[in-house]
Amino acid sequence: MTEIPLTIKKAAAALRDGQITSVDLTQALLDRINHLNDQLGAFIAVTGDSALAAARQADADLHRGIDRGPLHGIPIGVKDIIATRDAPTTANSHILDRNWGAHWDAPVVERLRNAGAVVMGKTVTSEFACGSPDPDNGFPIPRNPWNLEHSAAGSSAGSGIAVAAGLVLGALGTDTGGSVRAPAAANGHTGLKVTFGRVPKYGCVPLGYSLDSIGPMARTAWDCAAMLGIMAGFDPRDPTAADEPVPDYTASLNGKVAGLRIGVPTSYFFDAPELSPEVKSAVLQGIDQLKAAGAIVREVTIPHADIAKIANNVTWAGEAFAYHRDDLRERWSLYGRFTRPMLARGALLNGADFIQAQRVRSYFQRSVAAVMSDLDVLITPTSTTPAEKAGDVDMTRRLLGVSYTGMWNLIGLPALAVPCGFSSDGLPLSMQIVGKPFDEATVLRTGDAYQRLVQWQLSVPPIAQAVAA
Amino acid sequence: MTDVPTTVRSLLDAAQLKMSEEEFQLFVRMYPALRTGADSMYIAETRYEEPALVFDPSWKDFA
Repeated sequence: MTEIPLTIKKAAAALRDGQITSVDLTQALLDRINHLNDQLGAFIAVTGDSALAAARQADADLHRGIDRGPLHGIPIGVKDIIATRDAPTTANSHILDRNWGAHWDAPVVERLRNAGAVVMGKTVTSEFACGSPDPDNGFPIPRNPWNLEHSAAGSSAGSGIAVAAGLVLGALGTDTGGSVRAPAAANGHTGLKVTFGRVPKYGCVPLGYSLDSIGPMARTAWDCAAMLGIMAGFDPRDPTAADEPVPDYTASLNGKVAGLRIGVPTSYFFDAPELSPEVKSAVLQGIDQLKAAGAIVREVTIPHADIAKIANNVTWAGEAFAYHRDDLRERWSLYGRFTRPMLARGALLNGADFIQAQRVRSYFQRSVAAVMSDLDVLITPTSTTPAEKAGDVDMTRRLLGVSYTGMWNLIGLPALAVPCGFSSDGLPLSMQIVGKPFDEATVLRTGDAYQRLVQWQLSVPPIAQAVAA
Repeated sequence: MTDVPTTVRSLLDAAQLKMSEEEFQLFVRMYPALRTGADSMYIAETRYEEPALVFDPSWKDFA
């Protein structure tokens, strides 16, 4: 068998050139999962038999000339808060009804399967997509493939690890305040938080009803574009799903950024004391590379970004507490010890606070629309630091400290995390490209153009290189 | 004005959340920053702002 392709794009070409079969690809990745999952904690359930059956079907289809597109025959992972027909959905919690989501696919999974994707299993999440891993709770502990002592971030940690370590070529994550982008940043790959409503979230356990989105996680912007083209589109079962046209996202990836207008919000995003100099330097270098390729870069100010980040937290605290209140009352100890304070803090806020957060949302949406009226994208760091040591992660501190992701959930904008270097101790660094509503195409075009200039997204963690060899 | 532990105890009791003393102390430590953060949202710019209770990310009203 030929070398396993790193990306969906290359694997799709190899499948059609006859260099590899979907069965060979799927089996090779199942072997990798078998070798690495105990160390990395990426998967909670592996559906090997159904994956191989789907791979055989893909090979037969392609052999007969039936081509379902770029995901046909491609192994993917699904975050364990999204319903899949062939594996239970647990939300990595002892609380969720074991019958929830049983024996049916969420629309986003159904679409990917109909496009020929091979679902390899359920990836580890922070409990109910919040909190930190709890070793006492009985679920796999996700570990950063670049350094097992460091956090893989969250909440879509398993999907991030699986993509970075080459256990799958793409995965689904969810993002309420950064849960696609943070693991993409920590683990060194690309991840897209889509516009609110862009992808139907029916069949996904909620965290923040008005903030949640399901997004693609993959090695490159091109791969994310290929996934999104299948995932996006209206579904009446999700009352927040947007009835907007779905463009051909990969068609817009032409490598060109000449004339692209990039805003760089220095205040808060680049001048915070918490921002690592290595992250700052790498992101600024990335911006310089886009400028050298023809983009027009100018400094802008995003007013009250810090308040918008707080409004995002207050919003999801209220929405999540509404969902969990009765279980917290009756089954407190069944939640993980790091999840309980994250969910129960909603009890410490009041209704006026929630409404005020929605007034901030109106204000911030209007403000950002004005700032971006003559821009195409904003670029910021994705995280303030590289992945923290696992024991140093303090969710309370993180909630109250500087963060660059949640304010975009508050106003529903698309945002792409893109690898942009490595720290001096070998951990990935990431920049964030934020776009206008439903303009994922420009966000992805910017990310793809950058990735034609660099190779960061193709870096493979040593632990995965050893298995591949 | 009540002290922080009393306030936190009242709020958690009202929500009928029962926890260990150690966890209660975590909420006591968390509360001041949480309250300060929530209070910081009441900025002058939102004085006449309508809440986004029906959320539409399209910006069509700002075109």
